[in-house]
Amino acid sequence: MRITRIVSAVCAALMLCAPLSAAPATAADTAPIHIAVITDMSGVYASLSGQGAIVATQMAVDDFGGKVLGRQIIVDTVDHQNSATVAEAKTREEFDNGADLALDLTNSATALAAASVAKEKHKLLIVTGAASSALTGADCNKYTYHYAYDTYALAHAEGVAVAKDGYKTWYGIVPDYAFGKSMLSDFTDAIKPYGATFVHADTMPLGTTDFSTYMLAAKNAHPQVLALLNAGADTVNSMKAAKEFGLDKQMKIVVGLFFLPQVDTDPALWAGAKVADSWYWNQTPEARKWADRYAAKMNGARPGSIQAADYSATTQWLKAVQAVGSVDADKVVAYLDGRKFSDFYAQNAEWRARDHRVVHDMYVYDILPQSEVKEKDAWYKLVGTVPGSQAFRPASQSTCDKTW
Amino acid sequence: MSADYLASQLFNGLASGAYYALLALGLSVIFGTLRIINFAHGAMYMLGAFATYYGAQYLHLNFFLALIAAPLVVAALGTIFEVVFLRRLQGTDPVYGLLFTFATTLVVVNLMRILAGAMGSPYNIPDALSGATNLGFTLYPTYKLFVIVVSVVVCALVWWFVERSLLGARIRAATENPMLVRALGIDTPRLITITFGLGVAIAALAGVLAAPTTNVYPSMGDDIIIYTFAIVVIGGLGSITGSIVMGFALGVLQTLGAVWYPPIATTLIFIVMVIVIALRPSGLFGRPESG
Repeated sequence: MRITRIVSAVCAALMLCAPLSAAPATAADTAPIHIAVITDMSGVYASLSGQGAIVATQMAVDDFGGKVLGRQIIVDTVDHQNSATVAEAKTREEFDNGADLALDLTNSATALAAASVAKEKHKLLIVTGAASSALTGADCNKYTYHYAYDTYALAHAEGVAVAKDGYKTWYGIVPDYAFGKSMLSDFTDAIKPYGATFVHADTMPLGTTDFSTYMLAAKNAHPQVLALLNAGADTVNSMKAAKEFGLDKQMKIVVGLFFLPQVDTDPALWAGAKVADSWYWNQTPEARKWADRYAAKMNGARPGSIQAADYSATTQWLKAVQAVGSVDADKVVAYLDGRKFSDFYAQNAEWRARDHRVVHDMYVYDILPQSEVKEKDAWYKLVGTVPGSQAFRPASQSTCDKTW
Repeated sequence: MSADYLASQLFNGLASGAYYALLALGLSVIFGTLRIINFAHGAMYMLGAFATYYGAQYLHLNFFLALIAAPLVVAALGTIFEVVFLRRLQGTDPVYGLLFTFATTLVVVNLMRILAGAMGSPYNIPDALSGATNLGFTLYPTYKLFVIVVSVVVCALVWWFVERSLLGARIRAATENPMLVRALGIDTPRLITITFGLGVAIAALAGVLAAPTTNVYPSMGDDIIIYTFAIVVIGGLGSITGSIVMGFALGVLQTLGAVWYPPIATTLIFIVMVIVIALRPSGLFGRPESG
């Protein structure tokens, strides 16, 4: 009697479960594949990623034929509003609604939030927009790749380029949050082998409007380099203050994190500055060819490095899906780990298995004065290429506690 | 740490205090007459900066003309805003005014974001004020000195206007007892509109002065308005003298705090606010609220 009851209960359970487990399997074979571009659509980073990121991702999809595994590919747009809470909720929603890949995540706080969701849901996340090296360090996980750049690479591309030229004493302007601290420690480590040190670093809150106190202090300290290790409006305002106090005439100014569209806000301010980035639209014929197609869709605007990275990452992912015949994140990760590739964006690149850092060449550029700029948005002059192995943290020094 | 260095930092403090004083003053003037906590004050500061930028861009308006024209334009918008909306909130709980002006701020800031982009637009220091001036002990940026002078002059004029002039006396009377003032044949609503316009003009003037030192960007008001509110509370809500004195004093305190220990710079004002609220809730210069 008891056994009958158990057996019938099991039968009932199986009957209930059967259609549920069978239905998604059939649906998934024909349902469209979703790529969620989660980024800042309206805030401070919108011009670095935003609409351009959507266009770039869609271009990658179109170039791939709009289909993979016989299924249509749909690009979803999600505005994370620069809030970690929103990013977490939206990423969860996207994955729950069938997104197979989440992409971009410009802004480190949102990227870290989305990474935790990817880890929990076993769905793939490729971060192209955020800087924090924690994504492949303390907060690394199996389902998150960090694609474009990070604070370590910026420091080791730009910091090294300047320190090599004999600049020994540095003065840091550092915003008081995760990104700033990470920049300072990465720059400190990067310049150390060249005998260069930070004589002092001032930390101030994000969104400081008046930098004159710190500029005067920096002027008084007589360093050879003033390093602005901040981002966005902070970078602009601190650069303006530096020029107001004539610091640009007394020392070299290094801008830690900079993107091409920022030059347009004030070309005269940035002329002569040295910056590091992962890509520039006019650096190779292939890059330019892609940039021309992008510009045609964006009213002539040239793409920045994050947007190019979105295209590149989407294409690489689609190729992987094609190769393994599935969008299953575990299978795709198994395929990507250790794989080497080169495309118009990423040169000599590798999906590093150790910590899921995507390693590729980084570049150092000088920002040209307006008089030397021959066409719209052609602000950069390539002055150095740093091989990925030197720019990114070596796998042997990885702080990622790999548990997969 | 040399005396020259501290003296230069003192000037930095006065320069940032110059903005605080102007903004706090405008806020006080508005609160004093309308009893509205104008959260949109930061947006008006931002609009002043944008008026300067667009004036230069499309009308080739130079900076010195912008100092007069931009506050007038923004004040005109402000008076329309007062006549059409704020007037209806008179006599209601101050929370309504606060909420309404906060909502307005969100709308205006986001409209500017659509119009001008979030990253902002450049505006440079006019040639006549660029470079440095020898103060005897140090070279100091001329533009910052100019900001301090303009702020002191404007604050003094407004103080005189409100506290000493006949029109100022009427405004103060209209605040105390609108019915009685109206009975004496004075057009009270018009007085209030004028005062609101004045407060807005001062905020916009601070925006014009800020344009050359930062990029002109939509959220520039959000960054500074919070400090301004704290300063007004410290000085005493509605107190003209309190706003001016504490604006400069806290600018200096904040800067010297940053010299001593940078991370505390932005918190210092709030620490002072907490202490003042605990010991003297009506503010250092305020009279205890009656009723």
